Amino acid sequence: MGAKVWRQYGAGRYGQIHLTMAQPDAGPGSLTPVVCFHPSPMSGASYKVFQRVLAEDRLVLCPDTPGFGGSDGPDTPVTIPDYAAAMTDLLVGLGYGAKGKGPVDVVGCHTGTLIGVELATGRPDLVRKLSLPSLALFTAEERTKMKVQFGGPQPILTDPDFVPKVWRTTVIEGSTDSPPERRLELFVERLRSGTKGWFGPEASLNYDCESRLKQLTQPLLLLVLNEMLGPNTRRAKDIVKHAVLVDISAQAAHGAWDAQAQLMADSMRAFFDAA
Amino acid sequence: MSTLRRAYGTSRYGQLHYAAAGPNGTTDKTPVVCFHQSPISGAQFKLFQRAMAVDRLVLCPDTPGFGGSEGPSRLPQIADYAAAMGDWLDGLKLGPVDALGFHTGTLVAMELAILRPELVRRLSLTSLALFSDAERERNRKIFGNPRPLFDDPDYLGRYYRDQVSAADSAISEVRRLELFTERMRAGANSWWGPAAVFAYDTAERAKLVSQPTLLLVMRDTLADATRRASALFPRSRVVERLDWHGPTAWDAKATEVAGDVSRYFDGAA
Repeated sequence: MGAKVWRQYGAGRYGQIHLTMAQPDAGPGSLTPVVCFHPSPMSGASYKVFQRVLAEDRLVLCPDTPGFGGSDGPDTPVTIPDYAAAMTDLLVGLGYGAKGKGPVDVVGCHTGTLIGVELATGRPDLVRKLSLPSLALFTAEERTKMKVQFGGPQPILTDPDFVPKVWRTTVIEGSTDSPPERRLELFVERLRSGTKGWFGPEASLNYDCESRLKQLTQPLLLLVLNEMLGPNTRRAKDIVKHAVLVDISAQAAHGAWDAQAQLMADSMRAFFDAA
Repeated sequence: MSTLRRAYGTSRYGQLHYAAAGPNGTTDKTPVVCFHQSPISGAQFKLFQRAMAVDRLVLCPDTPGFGGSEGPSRLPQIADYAAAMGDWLDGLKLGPVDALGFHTGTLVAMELAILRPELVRRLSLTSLALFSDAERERNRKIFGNPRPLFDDPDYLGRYYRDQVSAADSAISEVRRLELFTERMRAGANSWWGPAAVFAYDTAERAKLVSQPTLLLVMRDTLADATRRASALFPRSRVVERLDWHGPTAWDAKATEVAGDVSRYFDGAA
C-alpha cells in the first residue's frame, strides 16, 4: 500500500501557504485527516518520511508555517496565536470546520505543538484530537533562560561563518539516522526562512503554553521521545489530566520522524482511531 | 502594480512549480515565460518578473529538478527539459508565449522554440550557452560533474562565501542569501543542468530556430558567445548592454531590462 503525495498552495492572512498533501493511492478514505505543524525554523518537509507512512490510510497535510518553507510570511515578528490564525485561514479555506468537512486531528513538534494547542483551544470545531510529541512546554523561568540562547535574530548574515557552521553541524557531522541527501534537504528548508527564521522560536518563547493547556478539552496524546523536550512533554500530563501519556523514549529519539516513522505513525494511529 | 502568485503545474517529471505575475487588469499582450540559469530557480527573475509584468502575464517556472519542481531520475538532456516545459505550457493552455532565457535557460527556450514552434512566438536570450569544443570540454570538467557536497567539508563554506558573504554587492545580502538557498534546493543533482548544457549542440540547433530572436548582450562570461550567435540564428537582432552585469542585472536593472525586452517583444519582427 502506497501513498500519493502532492504539493499545493492555500491562503492565509500573510499570503500563500504552501503545503504537502499525502493520501492512500486509492483515495483519502474515511479516517479523520491529520494536519502536522512543524518545528521552526524548518518546514513541513520535516515530516516527509513520517507523512508518507501515516498517509497509507488517511489524508495527511503538512503546511509550511507562514514565513517558513514555501509560505509567505509576516514582515515583523508575530505570536503563536497569529500563526494559529493563519492556519485557521488555511483549514477553513480547504473546507474544514463545523460548517464544512468537520475537524482534523493535529500532530505537532516543538513550535508546531504550540500552534496545535492554540488552534485547538481557539477553534475547537477545527480540531478533534491532538498528538504532541516534543511539547514546547516551558515555565516562565525556563522561557527567560531559553531566550538568551534561542531568542532574537540569529547572526545569519552578520557572521559569515554562521551558515557554514549550521552546514557542518547538521549535514557533515549530523545524525546518521538519515542519509546525507536528506540532511541536505533539511538544511535547505532551514535556510528558506532567511533572516526571519528567528520569528518562530521567538513566538514559542513568548507563549504561555501552560495556561492554554488548561483550557484544552480535546483528547491529547503525549508521546515521549528521547530528546530535549521529552521531560517537558511528560510534565504536561500534570496539567492535562485527561491526556494519554505514551513513552517510546527507549526506541525513539529526535530523529524518530524519519528513522522510526513507522513506530511514530502506529503510536498515533492507535490514539487517533481509538473510540 | 503586478501581483505575484506561485502555483504548481504538471510535466512529465511530476509537479512543476512556477511564479506568475500580471497586471491587475486585463491585457492582450503575449505572455512571457522566463527560463532560469542552473542551479538556481525561477526566483532568479523575481524582481525582473514584477517589472516586466506591469502590462502582461509573466511566468517563471522552476526547471525540473530545481527550485520546487520535481525532476527526472536520470541525467536529462536540454530536449528533455524543453519537452517538460512544453507539457507544462500545454496544461496552462495559454497559446503561444514569448520566451526569455539566461544561461541554461537560453537553451531550454531555444529548444522549446524548435520542438514546439506553435508554443513560442519570439525569443530573448542573454548569455547564450554557446561554446567552442575546447570551451565546452573545459567547462564540462569544472561544472558538469557532481559537486563535492559531502566529500569536501569546506565546499559549502567556499560556495557560501562566493555567493553570499563576499559576493557582488549590486544586490542586497538578503537577496543573495535567498538565491543561494534556491541554488542549494537542487541538492546533490544540481550539476544535471550544467551537464545538459555541455551536451547540447547550441551552434547546430540555433540554425533551426525560426522565431525572431533578441540577443541581449550583457557584461558576462558569455557576452562574446551571445554576440557570436547572431551569425547562427536566422532571424536575430543584437542589442548591446555592456554596462549591465548579466548575473545581477535581473535585480539591479530590472526595469531597464524589462524595457528592452518589452520593446522587442512588442515591436515589428
